[in-house]
Amino acid sequence: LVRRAARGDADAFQALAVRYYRPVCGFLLKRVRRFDVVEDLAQETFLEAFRSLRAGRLPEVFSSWLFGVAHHCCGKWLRRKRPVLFSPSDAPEVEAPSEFDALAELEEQKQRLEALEKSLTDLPDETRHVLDLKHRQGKTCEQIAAETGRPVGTVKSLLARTYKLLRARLGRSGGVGT
Amino acid sequence: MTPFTCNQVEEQLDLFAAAECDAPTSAAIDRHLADCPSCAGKVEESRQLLGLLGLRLREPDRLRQLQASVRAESRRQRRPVVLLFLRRYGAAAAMLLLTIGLMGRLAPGLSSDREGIAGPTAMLSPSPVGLAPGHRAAFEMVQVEKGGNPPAPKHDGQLSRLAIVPPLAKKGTELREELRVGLAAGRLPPPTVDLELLLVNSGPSDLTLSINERTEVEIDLQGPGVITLPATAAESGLPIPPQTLPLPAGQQRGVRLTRLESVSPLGRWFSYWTEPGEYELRVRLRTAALLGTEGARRRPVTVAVSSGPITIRVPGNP
Repeated sequence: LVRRAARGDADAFQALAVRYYRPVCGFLLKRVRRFDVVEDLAQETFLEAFRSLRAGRLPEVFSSWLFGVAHHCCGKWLRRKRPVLFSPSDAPEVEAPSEFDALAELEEQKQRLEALEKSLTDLPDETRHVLDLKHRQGKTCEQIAAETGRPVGTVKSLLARTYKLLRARLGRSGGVGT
Repeated sequence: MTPFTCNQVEEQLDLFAAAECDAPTSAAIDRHLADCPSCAGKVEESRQLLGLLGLRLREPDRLRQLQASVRAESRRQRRPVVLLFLRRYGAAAAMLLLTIGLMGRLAPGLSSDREGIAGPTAMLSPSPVGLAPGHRAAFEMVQVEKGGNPPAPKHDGQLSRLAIVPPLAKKGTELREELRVGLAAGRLPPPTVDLELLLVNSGPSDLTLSINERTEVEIDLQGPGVITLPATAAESGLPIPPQTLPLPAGQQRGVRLTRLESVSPLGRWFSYWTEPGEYELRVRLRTAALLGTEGARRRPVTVAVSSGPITIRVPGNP
């Protein structure tokens, strides 16, 4: 896949992106601790990786190299965002992961996301639909209530119960903290 | 609103983290969290969960967005097919610095006697400096044999020859004329170099370059004392060894450049530097190629590439 991606095969690169999207998001989240920027940084990471592959870079171990690219994107973001709080020379340095650390993180993120995935699969369709409206489509409880024809209080109760359940399940499987 | 207890906060904390509490409730929870690290920790945990949920649920959309961006990037990058770099300048050029009256003294050829500055001697430069980091410069003193060309350069990547006859006195047209006559008479060696051109195929398709008698090479040497002379038939030839060079997509290959000789349908020229100073060298290559994978249908194309510059600093006479 990596060789095909290096030749410009966008589908091959997409297969790599699907495989590594979650671990990269987890990796980024651990460093920037901002959910609102992680997705943008993930896009930047994968695009940067694609450009680098196209320019002739063929990494020996794709996963750890990709984390290196993610690390670089994090560094750029931290340097870009922090001057308000710190002078540029004081921009915090994020240590680059060793190959071993990168693989350990890959495994850790995989476990967390698998636990979340399983918990979501176990939820009733109706609950998953409400979560989708809230977290994918960004709707408020009032908008969800209007769309589903339910009272706002019922939507809020459903969400509160679901969050509590998920938190408990992920807590048992190793915690949700980053 | 009365202050919230931990139990009350516990009931609301997920909706609070999701920004779904009304304003009075949010304010009460805020006040409680300021003094309760335990509840603050639970709210943070809830925020992490909500963040993960969002990441997971938006993942298909973001992957589609990424796919579109990658495809756009892929289309943008199709144009540059081959990049060309000059490298291994550690093995440097053989250039001539000639003295006043050199041509007269040169006859019947360059002497191996290095005693006396006015003597018709040639030797290597101790160093053209300004090498790329990581390149070691090692030069050996080589004397030019009487009546002949300099010995063949050693191609171990570190050795180089720079023939100098100090000091320079003639300049401009006068020097140029002397050099031209000397070259025509076989008394002036060609500008031998040992450089490597690095060809990088950053395109999506395999290429096979044909470097042959129809290949064009342009030597662009800029600096204070550059003199370009028509190459002598005896010495001239393609400065890059003729070869068929497979260049798969994403791969790079090096080819050696052995003379600073420009080759085009209009003629052939040698480029020399003749004074100490700083020079800039670029190489342009234009050659036929086949685009596509071997065994499959391939189409003929012309590849024209230009290297970035390398700097050559020619020191004064030792």
